[in-house]
Amino acid sequence: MFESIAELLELAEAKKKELHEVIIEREMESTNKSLEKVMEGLKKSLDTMKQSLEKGLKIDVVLPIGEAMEQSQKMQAKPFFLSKDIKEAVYWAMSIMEYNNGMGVICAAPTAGSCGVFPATILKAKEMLNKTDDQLMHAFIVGSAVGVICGNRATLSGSEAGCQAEVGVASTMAAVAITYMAGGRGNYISNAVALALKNLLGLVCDPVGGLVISPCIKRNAIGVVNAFLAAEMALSGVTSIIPADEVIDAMLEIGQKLPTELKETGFGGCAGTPTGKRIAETLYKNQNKI
Amino acid sequence: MRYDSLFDVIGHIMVGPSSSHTAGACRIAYITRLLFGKPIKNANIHLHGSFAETYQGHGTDKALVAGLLGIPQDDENLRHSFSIAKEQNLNYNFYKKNLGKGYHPNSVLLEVSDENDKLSVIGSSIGGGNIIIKEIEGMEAGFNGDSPTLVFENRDVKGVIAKVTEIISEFGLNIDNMELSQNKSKKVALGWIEVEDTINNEMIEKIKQIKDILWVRALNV
Repeated sequence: MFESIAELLELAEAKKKELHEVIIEREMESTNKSLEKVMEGLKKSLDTMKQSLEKGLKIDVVLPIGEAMEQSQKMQAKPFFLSKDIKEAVYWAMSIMEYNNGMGVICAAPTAGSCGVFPATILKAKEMLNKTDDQLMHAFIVGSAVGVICGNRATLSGSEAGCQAEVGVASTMAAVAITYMAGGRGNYISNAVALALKNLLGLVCDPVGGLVISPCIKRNAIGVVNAFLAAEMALSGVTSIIPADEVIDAMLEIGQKLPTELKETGFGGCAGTPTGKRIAETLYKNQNKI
Repeated sequence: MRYDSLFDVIGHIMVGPSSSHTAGACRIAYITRLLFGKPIKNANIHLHGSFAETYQGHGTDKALVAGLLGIPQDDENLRHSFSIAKEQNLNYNFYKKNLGKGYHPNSVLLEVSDENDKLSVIGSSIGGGNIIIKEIEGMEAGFNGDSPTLVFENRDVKGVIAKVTEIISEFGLNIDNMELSQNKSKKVALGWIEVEDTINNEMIEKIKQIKDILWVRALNV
């Protein structure tokens, strides 16, 4: 579809079209689908994200790790440092992740373990900026295309490159989407990519007991805050010295150099701490014997 | 992996928490149900590798039972699969089994049956909700069901495949990929043919009429 951020931006520039327009055209070309079919699919994914948020806010789930339960609700408390909106977006992302762990229906973005970041950020930004459903959809399209580019240049798999490829990419997709939603174009977009992803480079995947709970649910929170931060910086004119595509390439290089223990195996990092190991042991002991 | 579409990134709608341990597991079982072709009454579920280690925390067990009931990976009912199995008289048992070195850590052997027939399938969940059906009835397979696929077992005699492909072209379908594997001692073979468009019932009925075809199924999922 697209191999680089540079290619995507140049194409829009050359065609004198909006980014979301050239992305949709390319999607239709590479999948042989009609505009209607593509838009129908996109709407289904976005609707699933909205529903996962609505349900996630309503339903309390039982998690196999007791210590990890009912954490999202605590983010409803009056803010000390964050703005009310950003704190609520974090609450949303954690709620979607809890809902995911309660076997709710979610839309991976780019993975199930990072499924809270993108919806929480773009839905909150829509509310904050008072944008229309169409504008939300356009931002959603641009953010998703950046996910495709990260996949093609690097990877979207925690087992290949750690959490930087999951929450890192989710946060990058979200940062770009809201930058676009706020009116950022051209260099503002590439700076949003670079600034968002750089901050999360090296993030490891170290799930306790191998489950998508700890630290995953709370790690979705940094994905949200980092997305707002990177978009804010990019829109304020802060530029990245390292170009976006090179940052994505760096993510892959770092991922390849990460030891296996820190790539979704549940052995290193948080999973490998005495507490992480103790929780994992209890989990297996409580599992029905087969 | 190559990403050719936005939907490779934001198109995976599924019951959580894990694309590999929940959605992928469900899909393997769902395809097994389609290959069996009718409601399953008994299922022996043999979990290999990581599936055996963390099956409960990820709901791999519920996902597999859901798939065997014909509940797809994006259906909320997935998490109620155990009680639905009770209502629909599906008996199941879980076992831990080391299938050997050649299998992906997220693999499962499903032995399913009813009063008259039985089928065994090995599938692997290879990441991001993507799966591969590795073996059917002990014969090597290698499809994922992402495009419409015709799967059949036949007596290993000359001319059967030619007749099958003839019928496919008669129905105007283009073949994307065709593969075969044999069980020489039993003198049977497994075939899978991926085609461009939906496979209709009429075509399946016609292929069933071919002498030496033991069974044939269409996967349009």
